[in-house]
Amino acid sequence: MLFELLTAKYPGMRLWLTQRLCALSMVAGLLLFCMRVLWLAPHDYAGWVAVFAPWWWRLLSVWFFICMLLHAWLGVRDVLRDYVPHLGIRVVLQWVVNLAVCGNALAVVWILFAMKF
Amino acid sequence: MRFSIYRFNPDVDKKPYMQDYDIALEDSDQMLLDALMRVKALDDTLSMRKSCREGVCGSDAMNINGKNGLACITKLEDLQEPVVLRPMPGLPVIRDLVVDMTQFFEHYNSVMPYLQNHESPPETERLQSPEDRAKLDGLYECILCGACTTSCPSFWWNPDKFVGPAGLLQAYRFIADSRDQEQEARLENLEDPYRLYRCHNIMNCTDVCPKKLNPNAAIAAIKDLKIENVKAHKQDAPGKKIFGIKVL
Repeated sequence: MLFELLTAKYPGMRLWLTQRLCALSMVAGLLLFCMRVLWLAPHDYAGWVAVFAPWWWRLLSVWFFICMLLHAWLGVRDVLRDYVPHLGIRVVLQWVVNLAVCGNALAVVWILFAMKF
Repeated sequence: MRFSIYRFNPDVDKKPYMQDYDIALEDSDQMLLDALMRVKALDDTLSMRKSCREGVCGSDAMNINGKNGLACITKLEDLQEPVVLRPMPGLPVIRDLVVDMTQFFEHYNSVMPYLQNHESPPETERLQSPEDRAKLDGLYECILCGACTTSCPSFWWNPDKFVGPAGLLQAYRFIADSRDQEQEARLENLEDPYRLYRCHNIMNCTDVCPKKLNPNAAIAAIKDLKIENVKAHKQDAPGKKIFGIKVL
């Protein structure tokens, strides 16, 4: 049912629901992060490295950041559509946002998976 | 009391301007509309709408010190001087405080604001249980003054596409009506990415409503119903089964 709501059959619902699901994922991710930090209580660099050492935790972190970037991308897309009536300027700004979002996503993956643990 | 009022006569003025008035009020002048009638007596070129003078018709909706409201139920003692009066934002100005509400009523008409029941009318009225009737409280009281819709930035930026809080409140008024038989078509009618989903819940509508209604809650209820509607369809559909268990 959920997947059907995210298809082109429901164009309005799809965007709205995606943003809400991303927000819920972020809340869950933030709670997990707080619990893990409280559990491991890192107090130096080595401690923080230990927090992010397990591969599954790094995957969860990537998921969290993808949700955050998608949530932000949808929001900024709406803002641009509302406040920038000039099509040319809007397309340019949208591409700047797209590149920034992709760049941030790549940076997150690179930091989390290229780091030596 | 000092008033600063938006003036624009398209036949004479090249651009709008603010005109100041100093009005001597009498003890009987309690509401803003009373003061505006004094202004009107002083300067009969001022154009404005008014009718019932008791918050029922919604004609005298305007922007009062930056916030939309009805002049007839706005107390003068609550207003800071100079009282700045402008037409409702986001709609074309016809003259002074009078706006063209064609767009507003087009959106209102687009949600089919009338009962649709395909059964033959009964001898008496179509009955509802008290519980079903109670679902319409907070919805049917809307007077269509336009204060909510014209204080909504989503409507300012997409006046031709976003239905607006007043129209959506009216849409929900009929979606929630147990006597109506077109709930599904009404929900389908709001699927466009702009018509309903352009609401970002900033709640200006709820803040300014002179009847203390909550269009934002009605909009949220429509979104919930849309999900419920798809869920109900999915349960009715045959679906795919794996090991006898129905899956997505």
